[in-house]
Amino acid sequence: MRGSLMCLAMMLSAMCHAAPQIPYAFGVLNQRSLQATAAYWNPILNFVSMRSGVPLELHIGRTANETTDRAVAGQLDFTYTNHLFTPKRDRLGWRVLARQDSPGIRGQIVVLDSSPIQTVKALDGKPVAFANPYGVTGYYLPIDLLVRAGVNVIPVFSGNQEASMGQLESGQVAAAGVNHQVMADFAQRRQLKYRVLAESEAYFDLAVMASPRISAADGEKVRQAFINMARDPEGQNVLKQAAQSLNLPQVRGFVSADNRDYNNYRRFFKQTQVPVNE
Amino acid sequence: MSNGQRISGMRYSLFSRIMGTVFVLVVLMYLVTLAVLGVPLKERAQQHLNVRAESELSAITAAIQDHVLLRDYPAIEQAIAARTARFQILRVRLTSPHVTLESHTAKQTQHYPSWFSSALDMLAPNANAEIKVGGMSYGMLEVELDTGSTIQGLWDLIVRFTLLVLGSVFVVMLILRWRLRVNLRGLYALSGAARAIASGNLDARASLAFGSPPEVYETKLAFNSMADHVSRLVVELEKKHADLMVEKERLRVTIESIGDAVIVSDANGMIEFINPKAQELTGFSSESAHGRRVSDVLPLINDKTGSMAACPLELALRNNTVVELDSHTLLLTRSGNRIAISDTAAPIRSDDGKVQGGVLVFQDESERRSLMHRLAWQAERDHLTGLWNRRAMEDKLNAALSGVKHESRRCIFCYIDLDRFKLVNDTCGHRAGDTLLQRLSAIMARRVDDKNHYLARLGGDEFGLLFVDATLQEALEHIQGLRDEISRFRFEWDDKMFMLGVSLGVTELHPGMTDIGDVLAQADTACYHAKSLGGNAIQVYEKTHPALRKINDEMQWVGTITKAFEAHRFVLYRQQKVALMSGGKTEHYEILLRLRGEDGEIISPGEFLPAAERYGLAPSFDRWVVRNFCAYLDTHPEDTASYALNLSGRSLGDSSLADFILDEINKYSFDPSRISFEVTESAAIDSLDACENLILTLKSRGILFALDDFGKGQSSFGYLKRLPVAYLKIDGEFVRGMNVDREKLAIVKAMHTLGHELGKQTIAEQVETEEELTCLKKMGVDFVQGYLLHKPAPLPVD
Repeated sequence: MRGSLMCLAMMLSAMCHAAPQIPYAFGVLNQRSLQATAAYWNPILNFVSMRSGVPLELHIGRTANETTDRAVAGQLDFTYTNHLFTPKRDRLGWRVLARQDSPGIRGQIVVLDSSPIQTVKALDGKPVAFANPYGVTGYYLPIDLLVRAGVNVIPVFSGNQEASMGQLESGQVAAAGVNHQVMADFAQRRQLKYRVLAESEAYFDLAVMASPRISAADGEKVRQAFINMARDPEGQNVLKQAAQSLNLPQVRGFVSADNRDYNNYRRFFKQTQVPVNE
Repeated sequence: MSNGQRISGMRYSLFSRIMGTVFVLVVLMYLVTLAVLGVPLKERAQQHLNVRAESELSAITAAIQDHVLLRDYPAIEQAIAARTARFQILRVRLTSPHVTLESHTAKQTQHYPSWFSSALDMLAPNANAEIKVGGMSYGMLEVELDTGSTIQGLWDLIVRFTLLVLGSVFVVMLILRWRLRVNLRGLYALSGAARAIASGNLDARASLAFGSPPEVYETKLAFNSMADHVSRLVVELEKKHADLMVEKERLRVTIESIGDAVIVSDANGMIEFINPKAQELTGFSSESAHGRRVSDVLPLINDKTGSMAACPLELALRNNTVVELDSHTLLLTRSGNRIAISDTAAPIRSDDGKVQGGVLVFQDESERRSLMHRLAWQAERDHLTGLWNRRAMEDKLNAALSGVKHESRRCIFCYIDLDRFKLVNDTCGHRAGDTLLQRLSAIMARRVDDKNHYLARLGGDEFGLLFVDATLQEALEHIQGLRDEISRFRFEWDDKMFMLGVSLGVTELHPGMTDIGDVLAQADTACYHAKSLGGNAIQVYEKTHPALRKINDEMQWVGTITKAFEAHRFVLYRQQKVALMSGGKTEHYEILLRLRGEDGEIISPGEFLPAAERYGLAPSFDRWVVRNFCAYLDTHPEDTASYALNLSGRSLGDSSLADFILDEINKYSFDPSRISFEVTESAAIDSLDACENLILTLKSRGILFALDDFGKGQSSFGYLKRLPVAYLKIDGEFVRGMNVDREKLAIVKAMHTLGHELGKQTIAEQVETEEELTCLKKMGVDFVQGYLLHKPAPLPVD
């Protein structure tokens, strides 16, 4: 009996190995255009799939919100996001595997260096660009700063953060609510001088998260692949290419993370006076 | 150029050629333009299609890229379909691992012919690319375009271009046709005028009225000028033609009338013309000779060898030069006769020197050649006797002397002089003399061998006989036989019988002789001596023989005399003739000639006169004496004496002497009767007729004659009767010693008596003693002359 069961298990295992493996859907929150996002993430996912043996396939929604909706709807297996720490979504059970190796991100209210606006107060009643009404650093953190300062602005949603920065650069808006890292990269790339009027505390950047239906083994393989990437010469090369595709000044690898590293997100959403869209 | 070529060259008019050429050129240009522009155009169209396919691929890629990233396949299909329909893309296909999407449009209906599409051979533009983002492939996109619209565009372009070209050609041809018709109008006028002139209307000219380009106008002017010139030339030509016809007729009549035979042939030696004289000589008629070879009609034979001779006309044609027959050519006539001819053959050349034919002119040379033979014979033969003449003998002597000098041959020459031949001539006339010479020549000729003996008549009664390759002894034997035969010969004429002798001088030719002058002189000397011995004798020349040496000396005198004469060393002397009868007041002298030697001594005439007489110098002396003595008389009027001048025998034979003497006398004014002349009896007899005429001629002017040396010669009374002399001068031979020699006394007495009886006065010369003078006085001689009475003295010339 035990022998028969062993044989059946081996046959099933062989069948499983023989059939082509359906890749996991790896969603990436829209921080940039679709093309830029795909150009950055496809090499990384290829490398991780190869190293981990867990096939990953990039899935992007038209907007960050749509991508988040897909994750919430269970259409994604992995995701790179910070939208799943709101109270309702947090209960979906997604777990953090890794994060980008960066000191953290902050939400900022920025104006052009040449702008006469010197304080947040001066923005009262003025149009301020935001990425979308769902972004943490692109909306919640900067608008929270304004709300806490008692400044009412006219929010202008540009779709993503660089679009908001573009509107600022072109003078269509008086200020922009941005991710400080994205803003710094954009300003360096465009030789743009700007001033920060208000800034939030630091939050870890977006996290690589796994759906609750992903096995711990696969999740771990994916995590190991991400965090070893910076130490692997090929992985370093992939990161370098990905950074070059976005003209990023430095290569950022991934480090291991867990849900505890993002508790400040959860606190923020509990305390903020800004209505959370879930 | 062949006729065929000429006809094909004339098939198309200038109008057609220009139109055709322009048309062909335009068509060629059209085809070339199509080729030059069409090929790059087609390549550019192909390139454009390829670029468009690529651009469509890029456009579709850009349009669906976000959809691909989002995997929004309906949106992708919609975008592809919209693009395909909008831009008439034949097919768009996206192949991804998950799905294959494809969109089509139908090919548009086009109107170009299928062959055009095949000819273009355009490739269907097809572009494909993999859609890849960040190293991730999202599928393969392919785009294929339809070539139909492009080919249609090219076809439309070509059709429009062709229509444009056809329209242009049509317009150009119309304009060209109009321009050609206008411009060629002048040429048609030219050709019309040319045809009119060709048909005989020499007044036709090209009209200048029509508008023509300058070239045609100038051509018409030049044509009209040429036509004027041609008209003038034709008029001149007709006139010259008429003249030429007259000339031709004249030449024809001339050639047919001339005594020369003329044959004209073509360049191949075939006879084209033969005149009547040539027909007569060859025996061929004009019809039978025409077209035959000259050598067939005029077969020639070498007179000497008897072989056939080359035809001179054929030689002239072959060598392109004038050829003359040699002088021994005979014509073998058709009837077989042989006629000696001479001819000249010459080629007839065209202006460029090419032989067009030849002309042969020949004459019947029979008479001329016969005459030439006679002349040649006469040139070396004596016409009277048929013997060699003097010149021929001189030639043979030259040859003989050369043989002696260079071949050691032995030759003997004999000089023959007939004795008493003059007697026959004078008594029976010249005809008798000639007959005698002929007979004697025949006798001598019979005895000579033609091979080694040459007998010639050297002149008068003198003959020469040359023995070749004979010894002196052999020659002498022959000569003696000859002399004996002549001695036996008797010549009868008019019942008169003459017996003749012959004097022969013989000499042997030897290498030391300078020339034949030496031979003749030696033989003559020997002959002279033989004759002086009384005739009928043979004398062999010997250098050491005294008599012959004397004769030689005389010859030496000739040179001396000649030099003295030229140096004026002759002087006149006179010797008085004393009249024995009383009453005569006038002194009488005889003029004597003396020679002053180079040393100034006077040389007596006995030394040089014989030589002068013998070698023909005496006549010159006589004239010199007459000329100088007449001048003396004129310059010395105080001298009133009468003078007697001597005349030599040779002067008497000079028919012009009388005129000379009268001319000299007429120069001056003295009385001609003061001079008289003395002639020797022998000289007078030798030239009896001439002497008689001279005496009679001068006697009419009062000039008298004396017969000198009377009694010394033949002293024929007949002569004395014929000669109207006034004096008889008794020869001194009889006078000297007459006082002691009774015979001389008797002879002198007889001669004196005879003279007186005939009415002539007598003169005794060489009186040297008183006794002789006494005898003569007693005898009654009229004049005496001699050293006893007066020795010769120079004429008193101041």
